Amino acid sequence: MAYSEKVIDHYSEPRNVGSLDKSDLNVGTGLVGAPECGDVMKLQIKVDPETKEIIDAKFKTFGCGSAIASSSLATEWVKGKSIDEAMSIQNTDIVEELSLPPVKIHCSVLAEDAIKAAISDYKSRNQD
Amino acid sequence: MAFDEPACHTCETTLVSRLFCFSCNALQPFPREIDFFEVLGFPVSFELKSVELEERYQQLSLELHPDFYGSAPEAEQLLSETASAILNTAYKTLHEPTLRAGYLLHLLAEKQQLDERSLPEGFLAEMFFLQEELDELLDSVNSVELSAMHDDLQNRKIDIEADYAPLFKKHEDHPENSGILQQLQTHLNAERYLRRLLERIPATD
Amino acid sequence: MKRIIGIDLGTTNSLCATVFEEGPEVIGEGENAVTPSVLSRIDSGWLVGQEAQKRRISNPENTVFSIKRLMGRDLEELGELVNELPYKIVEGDRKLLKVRIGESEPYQDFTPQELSAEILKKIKQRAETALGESVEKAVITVPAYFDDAQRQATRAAAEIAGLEVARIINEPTAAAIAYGLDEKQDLQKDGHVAVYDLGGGTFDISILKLSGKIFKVVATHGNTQLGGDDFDQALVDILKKRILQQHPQAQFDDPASKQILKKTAESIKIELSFSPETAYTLDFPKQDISFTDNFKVEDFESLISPLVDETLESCRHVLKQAKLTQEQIDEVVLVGGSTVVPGVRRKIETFFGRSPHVAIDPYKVVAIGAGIQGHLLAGGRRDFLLLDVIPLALGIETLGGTFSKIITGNTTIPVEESETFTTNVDDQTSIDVNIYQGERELIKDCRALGQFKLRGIPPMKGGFPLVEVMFRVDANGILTVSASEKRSGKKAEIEVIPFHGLTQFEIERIMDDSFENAIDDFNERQLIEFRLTAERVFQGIEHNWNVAESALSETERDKIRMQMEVVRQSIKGQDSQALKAQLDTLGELTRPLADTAMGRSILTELQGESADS
Ligand SMILES: Nc1ncnc2c1ncn2[C@@H]1O[C@H](COP(=O)(O)OP(=O)(O)OP(=O)(O)O)[C@@H](O)[C@H]1O
Ligand code: FES
Ligand SMILES: [Mg+2]
Repeated sequence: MAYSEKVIDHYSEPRNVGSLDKSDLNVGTGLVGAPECGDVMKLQIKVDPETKEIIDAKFKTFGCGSAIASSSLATEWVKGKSIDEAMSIQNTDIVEELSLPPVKIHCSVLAEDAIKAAISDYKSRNQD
Repeated sequence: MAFDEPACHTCETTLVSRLFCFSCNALQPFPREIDFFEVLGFPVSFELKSVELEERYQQLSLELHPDFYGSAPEAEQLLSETASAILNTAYKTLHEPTLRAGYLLHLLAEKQQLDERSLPEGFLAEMFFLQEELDELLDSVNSVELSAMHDDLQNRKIDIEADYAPLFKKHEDHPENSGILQQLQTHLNAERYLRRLLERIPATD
Repeated sequence: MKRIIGIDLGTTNSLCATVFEEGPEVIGEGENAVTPSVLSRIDSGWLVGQEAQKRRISNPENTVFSIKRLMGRDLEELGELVNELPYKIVEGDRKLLKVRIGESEPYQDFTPQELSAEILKKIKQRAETALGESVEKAVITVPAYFDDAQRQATRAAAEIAGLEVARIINEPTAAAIAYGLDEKQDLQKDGHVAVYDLGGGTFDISILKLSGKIFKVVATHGNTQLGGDDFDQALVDILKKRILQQHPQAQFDDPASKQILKKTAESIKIELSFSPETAYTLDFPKQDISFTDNFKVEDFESLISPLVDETLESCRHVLKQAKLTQEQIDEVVLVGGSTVVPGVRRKIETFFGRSPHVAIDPYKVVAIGAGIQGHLLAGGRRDFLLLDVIPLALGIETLGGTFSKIITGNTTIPVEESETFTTNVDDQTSIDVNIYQGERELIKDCRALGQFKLRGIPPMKGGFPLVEVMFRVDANGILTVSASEKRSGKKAEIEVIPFHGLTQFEIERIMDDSFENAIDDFNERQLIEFRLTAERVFQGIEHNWNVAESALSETERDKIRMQMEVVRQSIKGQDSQALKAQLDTLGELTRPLADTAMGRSILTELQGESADS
């Protein structure tokens, strides 16, 4: 399968690898895993309390290349989006963008789940 | 579980395996979605004596293998090849306890909605932590701690595997209790994460 | 029952075997049993085997050996080997290797498949002469660790040679069959057997589980680029150093010098298998150098020690794959000429903690196993079954150059796995997928086997088509891929473009070319032979006719007369097989006559007795 330069780039030089301060009230942390393969992924978002816009995102993935690229792409995508917009990102968008083959679909699911988990963590910590 | 008894397509004897009739020695055409227990001719249950499984596998291999169809008509050659392929996959799956448990759960849970991603409380966070720790150990090439970690993970895996048989037994006795299947799913999931960690630890002699 | 012979197509030696009435045995005797895997170009044809072997020193540029190491490989993969070999190797289209013959234009280029085919043709011919019948089918052995491309190349070679491949089996497995079924061997018939096979160019270690009639390969590992050739090369490097110390001006780059070094190295090696020290002389007349020295076995052993350790590393790996320890191995069997080296044997013995089996001639055992398997495939017996594995995982390229396994290594064959693919964009009608084989995580460390293109997918919304691709590995360990679109039920077209190896078209072209040059004279030879036989038979009958008058009834005699006439007609024809059939019938009819003629006195006595009682 011919992968685009951009995609390979996401794999070989993933963006936004790292951590955000977990105790910061504006940070939401999502920790997810893929029972298909036993890989795990942590994805964090930082939300501007005023605009409710995601201003930063970081991830750390113990998994395959597709999972790394998926989470790298996911962090890029969520930045600048409102949490509602971010909520609507689907794994199929990632599959399409990265042209993932069938054996790698679950890796993109991991990224989608991670975004959702991070958002819901943020929400639960910021209930009024 | 009801076991509808399939019959040979030529002599109508009840078949042991859906792939072959031992009474008239005929290869049987079989549906693509055939289940592995039917392939090897065992009731759908986790309890499976490995000696019996082995024996049946050998018996069937000696009948189905393409080596014995060298001068048969082409259709039969092809059938023997697909039958052997499915026999090999079926044997491999039922032979290995974890694969058997996963496969059986998949069969039993067909009509039930299980949470396929369920894990014990706090398990994922622990796995993430262990992965990070493993990274550090691999970087520092600390073989003593690495092998300690290996043994620890291995033991946890063995403990999980030991639960499969009693849980499936419990399910057979109480098929209405869907919690048991969910518990099995959780076990299988957890084992997968442990195996992933184990795979990352290089072998030491 | 049509005979299927077994062929061990070795890096250095090739031989064939079959099952005779007395049991399995190599075909041919003495010199005629073993064909060195060497060929030498003359005018428009090839000398193969012993005759070619003789020309290795006198005609090094045109003499080709160790072709097996080139099968299914490309230039990059060969590495240093290209410089070590005295003949020229070039790379053609699609990275196909070719051996180049000729000093200057026009060159003649040959693929390894074609060259291998020449060896197979020679073997076929030898077998036909020895057996007195045509040979069309064969079981051919390959190293267990041969990947798909190497297996395909072997099959192509056979096809070019006009042999139908009944089965490709793994060398160590063939050896295990030969041992396991040999009543004379005190091999434990149930248990785990490790077969250690170190030949001229390849190394394999396989672990088999023997139980009842079944020989099941549990795990296999190896190195298709490690063997006795490398022992020789290590020696060559030392010899060069030694010579350079005395003759700093010495040059070794010409083909003749390479051959002289290689030949001497091999004889030193073989000598050291039987004595602790050996003297050698190297003559380079053109450079006016004659060099004499001694080689000690200790020096040789420490020289090859890293290579042997590499094989033990594989042994360790395979045990781990099989989930077994050394103690759980019940028998160790040694195969291949290089296991004769005492230093190798000692290391194996220490590793497994037991003395290995070497009773069946390690050169013959693979061919014999293949012959037995051929007998089984031909329907001659069905009292055992070989269950082999695919040595290396098969899979596809995924994101970032990673390798996704679809069929794992050491899976029992035949095996099938299917995988569903879909399109990314609307109305996409084709998908390209790259296939790889290997055990590593990144495709750059695996073997590229080819690319398949799925075509004819009905235009649908992106992600909607479900193209099911079936990966099927047959009992030869060879992959085929087929596909269908599940929503429309349409069979998607699939085109597999091999990255190495020949396409079917190329194979056929080579075959056409070679048929133009070579006449298949087997029928011709057979006709001559059977006509001579017929003459002899007629003479015999005439000679004993007076006996027939008294011993046979008139109808029996008439039948013989009539059949003789039929044979006379056949002699005039051109069909050797028909003639043979008629001769056989005549043989049947005259058997009582022969019996009578030979045992006449005894018969008379017996008849006398029965008349009395
Ligand atoms: N007595 C001996 N001592 C040491 N090495 C030997 C001896 N006899 C043969 N060999 C070596 O064994 C090798 C040939 O062995 P064999 O005929 O088993 O290999 P092959 O079947 O041609 O090769 P492969 O199986 O690798 O394709 C050569 O390298 C040869 O030099
Ligand atoms: S294989 Fe585990 S996430 Fe991709
Ligand atoms: Mg050999």
